[in-house]
Amino acid sequence: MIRLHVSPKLCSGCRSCEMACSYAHAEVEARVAGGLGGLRPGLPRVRVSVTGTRAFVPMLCFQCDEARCIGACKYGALERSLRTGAIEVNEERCTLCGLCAAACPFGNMELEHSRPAMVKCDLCRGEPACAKFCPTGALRGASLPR
Amino acid sequence: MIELRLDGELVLASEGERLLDVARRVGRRIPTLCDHPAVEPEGACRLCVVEVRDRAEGPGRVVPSCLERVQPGLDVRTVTQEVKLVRQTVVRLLLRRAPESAALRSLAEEVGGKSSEAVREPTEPAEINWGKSSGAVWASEENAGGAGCVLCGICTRLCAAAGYDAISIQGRGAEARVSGPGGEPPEACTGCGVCARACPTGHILLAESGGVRRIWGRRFEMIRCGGCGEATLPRELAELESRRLGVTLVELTHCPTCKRRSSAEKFGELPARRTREGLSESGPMKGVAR
Repeated sequence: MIRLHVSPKLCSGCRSCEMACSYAHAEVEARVAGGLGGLRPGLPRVRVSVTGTRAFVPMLCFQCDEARCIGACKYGALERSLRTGAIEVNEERCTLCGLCAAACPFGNMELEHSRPAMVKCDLCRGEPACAKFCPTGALRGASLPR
Repeated sequence: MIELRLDGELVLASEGERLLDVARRVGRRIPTLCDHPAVEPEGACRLCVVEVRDRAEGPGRVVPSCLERVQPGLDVRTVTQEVKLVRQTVVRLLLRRAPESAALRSLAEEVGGKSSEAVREPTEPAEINWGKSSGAVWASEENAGGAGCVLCGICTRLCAAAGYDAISIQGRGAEARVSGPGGEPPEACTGCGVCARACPTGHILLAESGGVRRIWGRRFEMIRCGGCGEATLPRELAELESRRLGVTLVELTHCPTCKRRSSAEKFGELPARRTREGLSESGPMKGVAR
């Protein structure tokens, strides 16, 4: 089980996490999409939001225990990984109806138009790249016993 | 585990696995049109046929690999004269129904034979406009103006899986086509557009412009995001799913960007707290998240 600790108070807004996320997923996508993937910095799974008081908040999927997205999906395309605890999109089953993204209360899931595919944080299948590259400790990965 | 032969090679498969999945798992390219991982197989297109032999001698049977399950000692061949002939014939017949389909034309080239003669003149494949409200408008108001339907049933099965059951195959034989009950625009359609997205031939047309989505001869008003005004979901879909999921209509139809912005506001303002690891973090996800 992987858990990501998010500490907005420590975030400097450098967005290294966004770039790390894009790089980490480019390879996987290239394989899944048969060469159509590649690096797209425009749609990382983690995004640093700037609040009205100029605070930085890294936003990414919370992998909710009672996840609305899973309940919203009618095609069994969202499954929780037993190994990492992340909710993962089964792209073969996904029909791109978009109800998961609509149901997510936090906006941490969205449609990538170029591929197209629903994208969300999958904790990098166990080794979150964002946490690895975060210089301030605002994002920290921890492995928990099940 | 079940042991069987695939093109002479010994392969292992799990109980109940489909021949199609086994063949693809070991790297065989099996063409299909009607298979969709989210719904049960129907054996509608007959393109995925393979030849199977239960015993060493005797003639083989040509069966759709999407319906046939593994059996111990089964001898499966994915490329035989019989298999090629069936696929070529199937593609030729399907091309008569859907001559404009780019997917079908590339399949015809792949299976070869006489079917490839029928596909000389390339025309532009039907293009599905998806998502953004500023998309193109289809030349034809008629929904049946697409590339041609091969009655694969992916749309009807997905529609049933979604619980709408709005469209089905109406009529028989040459008259058969997908539509709402009685050939009318489907009343139960919510405009979700899943059928258009999944249609293998690009027959089902979905048009969206000016906050209106058109599909199956019906018009759906798109609800706009309360934050930025981007068209998100058709009203009928949003109202139905809002009741099913117990989520307010406003929340369901806010776009991810605006939702993310407003939740970041909340999380950014939360006081730091101590955690077991000794980190300072804000804890907004208590009770909701792990």
